[in-house]
Amino acid sequence: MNRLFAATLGILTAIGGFVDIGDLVTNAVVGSRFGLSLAWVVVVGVVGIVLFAHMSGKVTAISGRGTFEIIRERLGPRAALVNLGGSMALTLLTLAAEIGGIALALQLLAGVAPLTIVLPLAFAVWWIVWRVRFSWMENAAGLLGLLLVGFVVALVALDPDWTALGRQLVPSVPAGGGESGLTYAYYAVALFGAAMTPYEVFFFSSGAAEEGWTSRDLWMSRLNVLVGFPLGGVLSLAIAGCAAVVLLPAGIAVTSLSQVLAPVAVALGVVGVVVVLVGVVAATTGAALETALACGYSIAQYAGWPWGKRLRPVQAPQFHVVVAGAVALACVVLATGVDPIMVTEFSVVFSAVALPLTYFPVLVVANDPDYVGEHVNGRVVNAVALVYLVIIGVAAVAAVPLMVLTRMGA
Amino acid sequence: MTEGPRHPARGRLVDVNLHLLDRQVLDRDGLPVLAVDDLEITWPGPGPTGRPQVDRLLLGSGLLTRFFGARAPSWRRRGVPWHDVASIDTAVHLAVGREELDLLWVERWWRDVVVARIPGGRHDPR
Repeated sequence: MNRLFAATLGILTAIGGFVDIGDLVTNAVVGSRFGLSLAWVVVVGVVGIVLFAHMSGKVTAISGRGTFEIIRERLGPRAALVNLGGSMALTLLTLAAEIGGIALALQLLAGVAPLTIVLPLAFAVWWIVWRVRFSWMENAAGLLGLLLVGFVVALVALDPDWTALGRQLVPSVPAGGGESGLTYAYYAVALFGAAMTPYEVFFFSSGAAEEGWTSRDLWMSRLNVLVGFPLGGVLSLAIAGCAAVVLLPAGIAVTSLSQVLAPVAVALGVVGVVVVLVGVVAATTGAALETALACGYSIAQYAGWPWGKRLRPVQAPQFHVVVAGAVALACVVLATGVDPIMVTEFSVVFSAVALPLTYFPVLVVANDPDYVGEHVNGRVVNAVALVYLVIIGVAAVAAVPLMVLTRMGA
Repeated sequence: MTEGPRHPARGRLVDVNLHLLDRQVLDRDGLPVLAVDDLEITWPGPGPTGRPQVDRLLLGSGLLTRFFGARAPSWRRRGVPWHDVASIDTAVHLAVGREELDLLWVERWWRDVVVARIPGGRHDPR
């Protein structure tokens, strides 16, 4: 149990990348349209984020330097500012989506009208950042988010034809489903971008500092990435699997959160849905906290301000002003009446800028003995990381054209 | 930790671009101050004998002129003198405490006018 608590930073970080509100829906959309034929992308994404999150955690634990301090040092203030702009747009839109997502989940759970509770929810997110201890926050959101394991239980309870499901794992555009290679590629890039979304490394490495990790705690970083991200990947695959088993044969296209939950209702009934919905509320709340904090960490580290929840707010005033400002801006985005789930799909555009400009400096510094001493990357890690930089580059270049050509996967 | 400018005779090659500009500045207790936005350099004499010297690290100002050129009026340039630098490693360490630095007035303004007035602003989260 202690080990489970020790890994909650990784679990909470992974929730923001794999099962936040946008991903919950995207996973189900993918499952209902492509079966499990895009599962390989999730696996590729898990390996990538494990590698780079551990590198960023290692650098911060040993040198004390936050990820955005390193981005600015290595890329200079201009390129770092471009990255900051792209990352913050992406993170802010995601934050808005998550607050809207908590409201949607509460609507299904308790029947409250979503728009009436957006402001109280935003206030609650801010208050948790302002007041609640970091470890309590990550334990509560991380562990309650694990209730999404209900999707795994549901998939097992549905008892599908496992060999047929296994055959779907082959990467290919499903025949006869009316899907084109372009939409397949679009969803591949979207899933990969979500898995490697940059606020995960900003949050994870700064979280390492919040928890006071040092060079003696590198095993903690390994434990966290190796538990958290694969778990996120499994949940994400289970959601796609449920949709592939129930919604794909029925020809139901997923457009809302309730359709994501339909397979759980079929398999486990009302109790199952309630349990999973509590998980959804926790996961979206966790993702909201992750993105709100990532805004504060990134901007404060770029500017060189004191940052962190471990300090009294008066000791890191600008950090707290940025977090509060981000939450307020997210409310403005929601007040326009946009669909929170659409918002996260748009944010893929910004990850095209942010992904390469984040992971390249992280890789460089993880090889710099001035920062990590004897713990520089091994050759195998570097070789794999370089391959990932190429994949990231390809995904970054392809993201916007694919989005335009497929009209966002329509 | 490498010796800094207080022992210039020992000598150490510092690449201004790599080791100074855009580095995090920490005070003598290791608390973050700001990032090095730009440098002020003086050139004492003409010709190759006059060695340029770093006069001040500009903190929290000078980024815009670095982007777009031109020169900010002196009252807008805030910084710490070079002799306050104690050492340089992955960050620039100062020999002074952050409470002695007037240039942190922006942070103090946010602290005193906004953050300290919100309930819980002085609460220790640990």
